[in-house]
Amino acid sequence: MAIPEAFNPVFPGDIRSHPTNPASYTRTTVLMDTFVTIEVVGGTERAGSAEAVERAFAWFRQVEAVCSRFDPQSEVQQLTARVGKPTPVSDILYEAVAFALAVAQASGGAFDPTIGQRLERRGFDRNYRTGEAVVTPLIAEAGASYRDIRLDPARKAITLRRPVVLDLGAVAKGLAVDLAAQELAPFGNFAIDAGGDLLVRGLNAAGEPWRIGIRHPRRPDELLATLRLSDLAICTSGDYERQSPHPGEGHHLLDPRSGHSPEAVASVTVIAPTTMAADALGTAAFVLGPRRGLRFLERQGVAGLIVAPTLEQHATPHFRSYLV
Amino acid sequence: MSTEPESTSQGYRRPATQRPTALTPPRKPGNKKRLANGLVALSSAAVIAVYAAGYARTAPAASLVYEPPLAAVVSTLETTTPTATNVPPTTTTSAAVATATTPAVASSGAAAAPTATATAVAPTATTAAATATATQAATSAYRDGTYTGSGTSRHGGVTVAVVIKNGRIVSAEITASNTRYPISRIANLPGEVVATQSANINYVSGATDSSMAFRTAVTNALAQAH
Repeated sequence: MAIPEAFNPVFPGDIRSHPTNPASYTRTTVLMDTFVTIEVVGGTERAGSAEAVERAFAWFRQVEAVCSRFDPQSEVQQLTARVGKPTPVSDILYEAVAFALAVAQASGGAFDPTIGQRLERRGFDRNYRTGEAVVTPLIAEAGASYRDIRLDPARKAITLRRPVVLDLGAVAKGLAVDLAAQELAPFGNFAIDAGGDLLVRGLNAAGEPWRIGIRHPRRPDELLATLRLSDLAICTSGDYERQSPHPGEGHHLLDPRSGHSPEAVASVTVIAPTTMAADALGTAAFVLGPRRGLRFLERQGVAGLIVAPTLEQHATPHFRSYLV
Repeated sequence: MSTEPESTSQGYRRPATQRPTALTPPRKPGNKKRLANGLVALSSAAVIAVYAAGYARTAPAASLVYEPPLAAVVSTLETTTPTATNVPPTTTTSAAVATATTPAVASSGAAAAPTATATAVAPTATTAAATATATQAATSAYRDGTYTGSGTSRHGGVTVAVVIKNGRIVSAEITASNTRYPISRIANLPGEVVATQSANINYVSGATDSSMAFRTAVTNALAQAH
């Protein structure tokens, strides 16, 4: 499909992003409440790329059906009807929750998936497909935390020992991207963009490492930095992404320990081998703040950039090696 | 070589084999601080475990992969997009869909986008009552076929192909997009900005606001489907 001429004016200083490269097979669709783009370099000539991309999208749908807090029928929401009872679950839900709990433990609770009802009450309650607001028929106990979830690896079962609503938003999208990447692995050179959570493999259509911009946290039309990446995931969390519809109740990132949105950080970018790790670790670092968050990222062996509202930057030693 | 799965104190099950794969991080020299069972390695193992289980076994027992018509997606994307001031979300999707089908824009590819038609309805305190779904508005409103429309926003434009089957929207996919961002590189001194440069960028990390262009494009496509 030719790009209409109206879209091609050249402005001084502008950067062209997402050009539809004729050598790539690219598809964008709406999934998990965001735009998901998959680009397979050379895919237009390679057999099977269309089917592989379709299977990659199917993983997104699968993860969403399991992990969505906004769907009363999702597997994770159905856990709330079985407080106190061990519930055998699918691999997707088990691994997502197990990982979320590991991040919670490592971050001292700065990351905690049991904040679902608090997010719901702040107005982050809307199913993007149907427009319906979810109201979980359960009262989460104040004081309940990630420590109140038990895992049984032999039976692949999860027990909510106290009433809580799980929010897997910082884990599910990254997991979906990584699963999609497994589906596309035979193609060697591809990119997956799930609303700014990115995984890139190999080289772009120009035969170079993928060129990635980081959105400026205060100037939506601009980029903060450009990077060159290959075989890595990069996720950026920002206080600008989603605001609570209730005035004064902050944005979608919540410090589970205080109940408020962190104010010391404007955005966090993490580069890691998996999207699942980049997403969750970035969310934890956001809550931990510029100094403790950076130490947390360094301890986990990932590269990261934390930007304060003053635009002061805090970067791990390896982060700068990716800058163009 | 394989080891029996065992659970850690966190209840996490290690995979049976620990063969390095594309997902396990390569060892960097001098990186002694990396934890043996760090979170990166755990995430890598989790992905492999889920992928190895395949579709059928990862499906939850009572799952229903359900994709409602995309008109509802379009209208709610509009309300969840962050704006400069807090806009209360709409509580009914049928109202938003009705506005999406009334604009009389006939030509696709028009650079001038209709003004925002999202309605801001005062939210109710609780929304336990089911809201009207978009199916009622969408059914019998459209002729079957594939229609393309384009829309622009501050960042650029998109072209969308909308497929109508049995009078309902079954898919709305972006077929072409072109977005542009100026770049300002922040130097190490707080607040200092290096002169703008231009460079080719493949993707941007950090959510960007492109839903307005998408919604306009779908509106333009649907306008041809009556």
